[in-house]
Amino acid sequence: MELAIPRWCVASLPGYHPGAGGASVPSPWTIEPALTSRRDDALDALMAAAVAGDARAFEALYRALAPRVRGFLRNLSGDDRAADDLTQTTFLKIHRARASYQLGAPVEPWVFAIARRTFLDHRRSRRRRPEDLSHDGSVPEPAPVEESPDGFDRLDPQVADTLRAGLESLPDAQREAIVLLKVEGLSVADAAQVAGVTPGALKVRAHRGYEALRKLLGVRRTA
Amino acid sequence: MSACDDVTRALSDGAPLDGALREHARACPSCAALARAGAAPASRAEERMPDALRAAIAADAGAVEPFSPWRAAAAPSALTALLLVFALVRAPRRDLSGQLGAAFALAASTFAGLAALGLAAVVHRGARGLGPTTAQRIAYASLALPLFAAVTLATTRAVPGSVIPVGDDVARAFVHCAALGSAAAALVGAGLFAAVRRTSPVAPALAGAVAGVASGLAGALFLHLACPVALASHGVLAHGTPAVLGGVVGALLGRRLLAP
Repeated sequence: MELAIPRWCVASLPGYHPGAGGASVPSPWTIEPALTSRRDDALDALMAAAVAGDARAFEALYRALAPRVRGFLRNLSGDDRAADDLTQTTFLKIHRARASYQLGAPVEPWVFAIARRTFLDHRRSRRRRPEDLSHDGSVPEPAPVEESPDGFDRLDPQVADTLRAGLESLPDAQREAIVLLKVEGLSVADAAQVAGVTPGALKVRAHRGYEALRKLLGVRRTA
Repeated sequence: MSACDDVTRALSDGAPLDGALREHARACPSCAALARAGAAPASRAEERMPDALRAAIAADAGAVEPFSPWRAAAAPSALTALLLVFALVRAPRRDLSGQLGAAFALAASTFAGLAALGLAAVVHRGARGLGPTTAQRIAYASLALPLFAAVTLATTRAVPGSVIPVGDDVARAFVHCAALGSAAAALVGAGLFAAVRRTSPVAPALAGAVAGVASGLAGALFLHLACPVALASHGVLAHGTPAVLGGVVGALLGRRLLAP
């Protein structure tokens, strides 16, 4: 069974452009974090269509959400290549678990919860077997990582490095709270649900993380 | 309270940096850096699905039934009802007629209520579709068993027809009830795990523990109708074993079976 997706629905998706081979249009970064709690009905409609068996709807969902999922995973893992792999794994899991999606619920918290679970499983397996081995059992050469522009590029490189290292050195719960609060489209309540905690607990974790980062940055406070 | 503290609080609260805070963050290097911490890389607007992923998805294409909490609860509920009917019709406890009263009803309703609460905690998704928080799941798993034990201790009483085992019979009765209750719990648990497979991206091990405890309490309810032993320690230990075992096994299976 294939559902017809309304044109307005797909056209309103962030990052969705009809036609192939469109030029990459980087989003302008602003100092205001995207912390809106808007409900994206278009994404929910696409997920509902995917549950009903529409492969095109799932692909449109991928186009709309994959960049954000990759950014989220990049910030959790600190590794571009791992983030690419984990993004694909996440969407494969989303597709296989589409029967567990509750129609009417917002799709974004569900998707990011699966992405977070994928990262946690990946990290657990990496701890058990820290090196990737090729088919012949040898340790592979590290793959070249393509530099991608991110929010740190506009900072002084030294500060950006300190910030990146500081974020990676934070306890998992604090780093996760900060990263989740920066995911576009997730409200604090959504982010808390993704992490499995109350909104208050998420805010406390984020606050502790920000305080730790500020100490690492070593810049004096201004009144 | 400095402006930097205000920025930290606003960021922690998920609030946008407006007005004076925004101006401050522009001027303060520390706050400007914090505002960028954790920001996702710029999105690639035209993101095409990789061919390998498209092929994997095509291999598993097709319509599926969307998740329904009521449908997920149906199988374990029906299995529990069948067990209770079986206990009442085929193997009722010998002292059942003497037990019927407020204490018996209190225990039965408590066990049934705790099992139903656990079932609801596993199948109910809430407004955001992700179920209870980790703390709520921990609270259920850690409070259900003490409540079960307290009610069992308070309501166990001997009446004509009850059995009070002595000597080796105590251990024999324990093994019999623990095994029977665990088998009943396994039946309910199998139905529950099958119904909620791959549905818990948040804390699947805890969701499994909750499902296991709830299934174990369904087993305890079955024993409550079938076991004539009127010994409080037997009720707590032997009838509680399925819930304890269920919690442990459920936690072990949860990550493998309940995570997407």
